[in-house]
Amino acid sequence: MMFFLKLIQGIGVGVLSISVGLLFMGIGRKITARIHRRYGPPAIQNFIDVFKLFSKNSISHGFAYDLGLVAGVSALLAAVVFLPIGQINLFPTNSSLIMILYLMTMAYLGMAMGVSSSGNPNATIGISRALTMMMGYEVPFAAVIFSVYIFARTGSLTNIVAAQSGGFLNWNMVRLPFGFLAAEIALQGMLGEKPFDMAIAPAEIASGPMVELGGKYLGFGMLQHAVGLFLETGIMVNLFMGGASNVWIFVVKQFELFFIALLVNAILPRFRVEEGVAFMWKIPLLLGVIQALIVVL
Amino acid sequence: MNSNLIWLIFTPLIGSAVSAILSKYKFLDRLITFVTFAITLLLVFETHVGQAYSMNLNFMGKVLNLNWSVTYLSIFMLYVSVAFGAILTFYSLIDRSKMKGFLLLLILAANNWIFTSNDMIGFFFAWELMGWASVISVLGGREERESRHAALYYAIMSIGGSYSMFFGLFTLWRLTGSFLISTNIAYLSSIVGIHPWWVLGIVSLFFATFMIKAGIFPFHTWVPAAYAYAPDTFTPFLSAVMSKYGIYGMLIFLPISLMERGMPTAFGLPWVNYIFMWIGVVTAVVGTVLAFFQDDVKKLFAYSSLSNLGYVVAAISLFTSVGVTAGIYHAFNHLLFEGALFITLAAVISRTGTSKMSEMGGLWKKMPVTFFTFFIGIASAAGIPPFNGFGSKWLIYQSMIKQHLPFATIMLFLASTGAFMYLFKAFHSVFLGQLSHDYDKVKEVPVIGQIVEYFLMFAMIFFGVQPGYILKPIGAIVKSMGLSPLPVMGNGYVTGMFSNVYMPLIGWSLAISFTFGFILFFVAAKHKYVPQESNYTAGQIPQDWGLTPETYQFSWNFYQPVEKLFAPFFKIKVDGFFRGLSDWTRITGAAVKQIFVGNAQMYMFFAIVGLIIFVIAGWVA
Repeated sequence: MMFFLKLIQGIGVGVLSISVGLLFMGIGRKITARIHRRYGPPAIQNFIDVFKLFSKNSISHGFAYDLGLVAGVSALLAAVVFLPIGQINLFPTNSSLIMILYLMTMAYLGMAMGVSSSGNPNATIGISRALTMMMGYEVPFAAVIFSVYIFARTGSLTNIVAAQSGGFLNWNMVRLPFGFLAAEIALQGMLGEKPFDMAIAPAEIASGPMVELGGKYLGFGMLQHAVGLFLETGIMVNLFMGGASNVWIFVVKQFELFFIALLVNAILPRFRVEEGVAFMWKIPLLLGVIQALIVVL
Repeated sequence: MNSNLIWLIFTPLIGSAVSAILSKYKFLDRLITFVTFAITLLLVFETHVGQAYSMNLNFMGKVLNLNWSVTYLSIFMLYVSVAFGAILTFYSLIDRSKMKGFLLLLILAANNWIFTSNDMIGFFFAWELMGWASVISVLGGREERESRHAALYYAIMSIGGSYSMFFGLFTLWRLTGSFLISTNIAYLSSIVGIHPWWVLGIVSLFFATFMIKAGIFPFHTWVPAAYAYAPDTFTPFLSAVMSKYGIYGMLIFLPISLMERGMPTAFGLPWVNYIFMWIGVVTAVVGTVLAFFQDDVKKLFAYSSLSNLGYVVAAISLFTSVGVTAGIYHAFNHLLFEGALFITLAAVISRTGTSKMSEMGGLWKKMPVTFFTFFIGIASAAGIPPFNGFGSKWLIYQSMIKQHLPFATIMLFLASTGAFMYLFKAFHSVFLGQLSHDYDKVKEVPVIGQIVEYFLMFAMIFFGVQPGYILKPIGAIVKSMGLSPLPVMGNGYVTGMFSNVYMPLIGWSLAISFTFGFILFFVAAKHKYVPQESNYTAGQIPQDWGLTPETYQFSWNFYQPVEKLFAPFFKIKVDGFFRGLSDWTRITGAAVKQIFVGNAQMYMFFAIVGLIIFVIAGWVA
């Protein structure tokens, strides 16, 4: 009975994350368009896109390709059920942050495996860039995570949220300002927004990893982006903005973070890969290290 | 008397003799090797903690006392090493490399002796046996010249290590008059508060040996060459089992640091441990960075292997209960996934005949079982739950954070992310991308190889989802070292300092989400399979420019941006130091050679002078 309850709740969380992620993507397109002085598509455009994509015939390069793309979405959905989302917290005793981060890695591995097995070098160049960039942003993000660990004396997201209860001044955003800044910049890289979008780089490498995707495969890619968006902003909300008392506030907080990322995305050009990594290892890492020093000393 | 301990050593020796006689018949040789490993595994099942055996050898009028005893650590090491060896030798039944079964059995004898020995003479003898047998095993790789060089380099490093240990051993014997390891450790612990520098000096002599064997920075230079040019089937043993001898030795000596608590500290650690921890961290980072740029896939995984041992060293050097647990746990996980990866590589190389990544690609269609084993192997090595590498990496981070060492933790995290990168590079270059036409006729490994691969896949998933089966014995080891073991709530739990992870839950979560993913996949509109040539190329036809699958495959300069980033660090070469040392030795040797003019009287003179010095030294001391 317990199992089925959790199962249904888990499916609910998955649907929620996909819907919120797709909605964010749609709103993001609208906002970017307005910044560029265009009209832009409707906010639910991405839902329409996904339905359209899943109803189209497509080509595949073999079972590794199928498995990889499915794994890209599934592993993220498997990770998202461990995330405390407002009052929804399915597994409060099992929400270790590092576990969630490593579980997300499986999605990237699956996606990378799928698109590289197509044999298109553009896809692999994109993956190689994405992984290089990942090394860039994970290091400052790790510095921040470990600062939070030492500061809150816990590694479980549930407890990190609980430690921030009692008003705005208790949020880690206020208590660990340098760490928050570092994590914000790292988040920009994580979301793959400009100036860190060299993995996609449509004008250079034909959308990189997405070059071979079409039909339902592109649909899976889009779902992966949606869930990833939800998960990454959700982790940030739990880490720094004190979680939320209910789902709606949680989503609003997520949207704030996403909105900042969008604004930066809309106006900046992109880094070269090595410049992007070097930037990540200069300013955000410095901020993260300062934060770690403050926490430890 | 528990004489079965002595059979742990004699069985492989007998097997080795039989195998050496029959080494002409390759399959028979391999079969005997496998059977001997299996029998030894049965003998290990008969071995229990607390068993001891001793034997007096009359050696030129002196009585030499040899001792064996079984501790929690040694029984754990025996189980994992012999079990892995049995799997590997089963795989080697279908193998065509020039690995010699009798050498592997000699190493097995030494292996059992090292893990059970309680006296330093026996330990040293077994260590030498293991060292020489492995050096000779490294010979006979695919590329003869390179493997000879690698073996020589390895031999010289081993000899250096042996001298160091020999010196330490006799220094200790002079001080205590005993060769018993337990006596000497107790003695060192008792004087560490009074003469910390003496103890540090003696222990460093042993640690140099152990660091050389485990390939810890700055002694990592022999590892890539030896791993890469050893016979393909011997490399898994070299990486998975033999590197653990160093870790085992370190674990024997580390309890001394418990007594060092009175010494000056750095960040809450005795400063010796602090420095040693950084050595581990530097090993992890150096191994990772160097692994990016290898084209030889075995070399890449050699660097990966030593990088993981850096993790182990960093964790055990903390000498806290979570640190030691994490270190031993990671040593076990490393044994499993690195062994699996090297076995799959041996399978691939046996089919393609090359270990150059730039010459491979697209093999997943041809070797699906190997492909999946490799996939799970790299997922484990990257620390992805619920596979087996995750728990130990997670515990290592926790042990470091617990000690308030954020910088070291950040460096380890960098090494871990980097690990994901080079693992994917190997994965892509070998299995994904364009399949070269040279490999159109490549087949999957024979059935025996597939059985081994299925078994390894199962083991990596099983020990990932049920870590309790490993964490419980490790808890006993930790307890026997005088630390409080981590609580084990159940077979599925990894209990940390900051939070717990229930691994089966992750497994369930993944299983359910994959089910839904595939339901969505099959409910959606149909797909059709196309050949690898039908790629998006912006309307161009690659063949028109003379592009073949080999040239269309992206594997050369895979991480060029990273290379640019790390360019300043590549000017520093540890290898250069050893080369300088070797040049210096050659010059000195040439100078010394001037003295030896080939005159017999001269040699006689030196012999007599030596004898006189020897006698005087003995008389004075």
